[in-house]
Amino acid sequence: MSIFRYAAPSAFYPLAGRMIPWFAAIAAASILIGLYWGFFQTPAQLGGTNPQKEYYRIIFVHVPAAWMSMWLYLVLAVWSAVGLVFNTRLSFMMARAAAPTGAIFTFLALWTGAFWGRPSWGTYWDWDPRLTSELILFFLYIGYIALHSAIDDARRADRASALLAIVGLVMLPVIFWSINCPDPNQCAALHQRSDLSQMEPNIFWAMMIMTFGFWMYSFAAVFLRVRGIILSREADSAWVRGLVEGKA
Amino acid sequence: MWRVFLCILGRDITLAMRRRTDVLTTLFFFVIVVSLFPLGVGTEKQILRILGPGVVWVAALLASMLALERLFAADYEDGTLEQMLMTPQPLALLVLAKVTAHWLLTGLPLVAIAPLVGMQYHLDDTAVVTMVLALLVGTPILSLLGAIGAALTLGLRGGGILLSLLILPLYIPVLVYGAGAVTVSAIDFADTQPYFSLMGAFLLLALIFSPLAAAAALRISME
Amino acid sequence: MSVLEFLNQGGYAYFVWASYGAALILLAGEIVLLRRNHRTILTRLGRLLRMRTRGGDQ
Repeated sequence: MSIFRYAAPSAFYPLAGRMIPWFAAIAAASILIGLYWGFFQTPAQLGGTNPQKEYYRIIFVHVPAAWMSMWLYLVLAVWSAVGLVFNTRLSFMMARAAAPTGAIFTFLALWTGAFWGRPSWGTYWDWDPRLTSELILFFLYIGYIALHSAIDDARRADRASALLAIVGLVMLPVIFWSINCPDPNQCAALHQRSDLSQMEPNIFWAMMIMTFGFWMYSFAAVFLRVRGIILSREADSAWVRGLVEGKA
Repeated sequence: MWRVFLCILGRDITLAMRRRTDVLTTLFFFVIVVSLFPLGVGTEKQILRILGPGVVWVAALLASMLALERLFAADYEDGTLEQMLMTPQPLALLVLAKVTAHWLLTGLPLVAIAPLVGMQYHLDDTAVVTMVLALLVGTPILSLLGAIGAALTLGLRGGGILLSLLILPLYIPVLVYGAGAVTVSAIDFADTQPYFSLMGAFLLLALIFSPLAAAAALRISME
Repeated sequence: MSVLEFLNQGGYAYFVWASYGAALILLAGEIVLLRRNHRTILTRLGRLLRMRTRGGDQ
């Protein structure tokens, strides 16, 4: 019973407020450690079958951002499903709060990918399956946010965009699979040559630490945003009025 | 249940036939878009042959999507949709009937006019046949998936554009497989078999799940 | 490694710093915007509350 009381926005608001500084601090520390490790403890060249010069260091933002973009969409869809099944307002608010952060990570993955692609593959963009899927993921995020913003009634907005998110989640593997092309001779397959198991340990761990840092950052950002959403939506309730009076 | 289906189907077609221009505008939009590409890209035969399948499919997507707005709009405005929600009949069945009517009126004409388009793009006979078959299997999927978007954006201002934004990413598998089938038919017609199998499977899944999702979306939009 | 060498990133400075710069701007910017947004909401709600209670007095 005790943990479910946080399903009420009024209880979650202060809890999130207390947790944000911790997430932010851990995120900052992890990112700094990851960057230091990535820039100073790793060789100047990515070796093995895939020689790349110093620019490979973009990997320390690109891969974590891409992973976060996918993870946050899953989070969004799960909260949407929970909201639809249990009819809890806070679940929908969490989903809505996760979307912009996810969209930012998706954009960042595309951007850093382009700047990594130019020196390594010779082009800023190509219709490689993973790149294209990331772009489509960006469209899905934008669609979710657009639908939510277009509907005035909060309840309908929540539930409609929740349904959209779930449909998107179901379609995402289908879309990826349809554009995936295992034969590199037939279509752009720039990502084919990358392989996690062959990565030099320092590079791998720096990347993992950065991923963890981005994950902690996501908690902080999403909790921060959801607090704003809670305040706006619950503005008429007694506890919000008490809070605002206290600050006035 | 079958009678309910036929009843709604007949009703929608009758209503649409009274405003025949709506149906024809979709068809002409398709033809115009398809005709615009050679003007922009150049009329060289080889280029058109390569572009043809993709262009036709994108035009089919766009045309189908434009017509989707009207799927639920008229019934929503005059209150019929509300009545439909209150009947004891499964809403998914009613949605399926409406989607079938929509496809017969907008998708099927595209299939019929495909040979004409094939001629514009200098596609050879196997390609045209593949195109017709692919559109035949693919356009119902477009109508089915689109119904979900139409239900979600019911009555919203800016609904048409928003609908496009939501639905177009979901259309991508149909586009890839449909256009791919036609492209591959140039090598050997037997090569198209995996594409058609996939599209067929996709159609079956859409037939089962889209009406349910669209019905859920309708309930959400109409609360 | 000297500071200059670090900034130069083996000649690929443009690509590396464009990526990291974007990351910094977007992520830090998001936090800054969120905090500002939060303060705005509180201010606005305070204003609304004061309007209502003042209206009640009159």
